[in-house]
Amino acid sequence: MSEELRPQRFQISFPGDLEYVSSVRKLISEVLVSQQYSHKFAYRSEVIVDEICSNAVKYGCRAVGASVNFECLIWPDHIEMLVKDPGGSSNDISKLRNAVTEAQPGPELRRVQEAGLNGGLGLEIVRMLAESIDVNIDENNITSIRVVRRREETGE
Amino acid sequence: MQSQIELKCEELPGKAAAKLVRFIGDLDATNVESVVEEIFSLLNSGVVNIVADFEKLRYVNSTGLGILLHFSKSAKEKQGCFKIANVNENVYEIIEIIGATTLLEIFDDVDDAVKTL
Repeated sequence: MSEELRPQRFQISFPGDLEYVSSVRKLISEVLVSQQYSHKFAYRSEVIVDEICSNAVKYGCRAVGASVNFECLIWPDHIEMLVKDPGGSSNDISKLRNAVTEAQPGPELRRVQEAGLNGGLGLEIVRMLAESIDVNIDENNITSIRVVRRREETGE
Repeated sequence: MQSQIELKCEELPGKAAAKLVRFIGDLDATNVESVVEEIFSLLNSGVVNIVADFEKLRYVNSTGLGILLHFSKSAKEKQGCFKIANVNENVYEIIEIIGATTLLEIFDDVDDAVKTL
């Protein structure tokens, strides 16, 4: 009988407050190292967790008591991260998809988003580090962002 | 829980209006305000030439990077500079990804940065 391959699954729900994000990113980084992923892979993943969870808090948790759900599936050759927040509206889906998945402004990321004060740097970092990003808003206005990272052979 | 960061300021003998600031810990959205306060306190008190030693800066996210760019811009507006030295490989990669290596003055070590003041 063949044994079905199952991922390690980590699921965390936390209040919509940025102070929780640092604990989540550090935890995931440590878990990845414990699962034989390299320190570099763990660091890059930590950055992604930080950016997508921070965005979920900033833009998806404006209501009092709102929370973020974070899930990470760890496979031998890749990981999947899923973040859900309650701040979506189906009217925003096109705008959100463009912001998350499409290449952004030209000349040196518009002089690095006007020297750092215009935002948008986080998404650019996620785009560069992730293999794929997908975004969705469901009928209950839950926004979800799924990011996949594949283990690389070049020392990552 | 707020991420931990500590800034240690040291004099730079023989350099006018200058200080070395060692960043120790993680820089992210949870502690960026305290870092802004400390750096702007220096800039506003006339210390407009700052060398930031990142040897012990383990982590920076986009919020932290944004503020580093802001420090650089603000120092230049005051006819000074905000130079960075000893950046570790992981932090450098994040700076590079957003194309900020051309906007920030980055040096291999503190001595190289101080020589240019």
